[in-house]
Amino acid sequence: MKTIRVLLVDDEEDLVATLAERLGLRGIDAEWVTTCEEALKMLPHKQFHLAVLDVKMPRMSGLALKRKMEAVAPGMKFIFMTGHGSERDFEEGSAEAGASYYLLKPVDIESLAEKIREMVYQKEV
Amino acid sequence: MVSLLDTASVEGLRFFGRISASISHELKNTLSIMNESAGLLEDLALLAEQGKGLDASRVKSLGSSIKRQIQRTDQIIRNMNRFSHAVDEPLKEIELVDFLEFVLAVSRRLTAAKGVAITVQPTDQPLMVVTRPFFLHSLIWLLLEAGMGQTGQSKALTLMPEKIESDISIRLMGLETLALEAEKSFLPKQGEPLLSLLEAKIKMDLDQKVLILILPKRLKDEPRGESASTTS
Repeated sequence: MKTIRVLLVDDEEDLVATLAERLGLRGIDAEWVTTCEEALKMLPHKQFHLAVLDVKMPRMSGLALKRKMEAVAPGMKFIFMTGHGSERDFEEGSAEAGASYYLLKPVDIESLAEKIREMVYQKEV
Repeated sequence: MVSLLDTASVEGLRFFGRISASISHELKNTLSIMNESAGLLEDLALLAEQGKGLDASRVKSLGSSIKRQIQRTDQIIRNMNRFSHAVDEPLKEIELVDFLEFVLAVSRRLTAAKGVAITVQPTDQPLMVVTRPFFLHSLIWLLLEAGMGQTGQSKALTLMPEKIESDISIRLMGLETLALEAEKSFLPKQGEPLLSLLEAKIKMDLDQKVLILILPKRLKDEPRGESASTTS
């Protein structure tokens, strides 16, 4: 079974750095950046199976970033995280995100790790 | 008959909801960071139980991160509390620089989402104004929202309060793409009752790319439909 490579994008550095470390302890190789621009710069040089994106970020939304990333890395999977906790936000976000997965903050690490494995291995099958 | 105050209150309520949602989003973020930091402490403790050793400096830095987020959460809640009490006194004397900095503090997340840096230029002397703080806050937010779309490449705005004769003005500077047609359309329609309620005026300086909000130094008259001022 190959190592899963994940890119985390969230403007909260303390959050994204800790999340990456915790995923690492669960066997998932996670890199992180705090801006959409950094994510787009990194993408042509590094390969990731999946990206975990914050929905609301400065200058560019997570959904807009997803569209740009897909253009560079077709077939990449996405998981969204949001601090907006209403049912409506959740439904709208899920619908817009299409086949991707949508998580409400604070995130449960075990659920996130499980979902990442499920989405990456499902893709391979 | 719908009073001016009723009309302005509808916009005020919409604004109150917008800011409340933004504050709840910020609180979710600080909670998420504390959740991950606490979770990582648990992970490290589990590894230590398995004889993997414990990095004391890592534990210390996670403790510091949690403390930082507690302080940040405390500040967000203080701002939320001040914002919630803004409607307690319909008319109140405020210091304008402090007020504008507070306006920016509660809308930090919303302005950051647009990628625009907004600053308040300090004044030599305190600028006191008797006004309706909640409605002034709503009006300034509408102007900032419109202004954030007019910064061009600079992505920066400055609020500069100053005394002009018997009035007070707030200059919104950095509107790089301000055009002639903006004179009539800069303030959205829902801002008009706020402008009337505050007895305020808007002027544009197209050469300087500046919008000027002019406020009376001391707002006195009760608008139609409002009962006598109550304080709590």
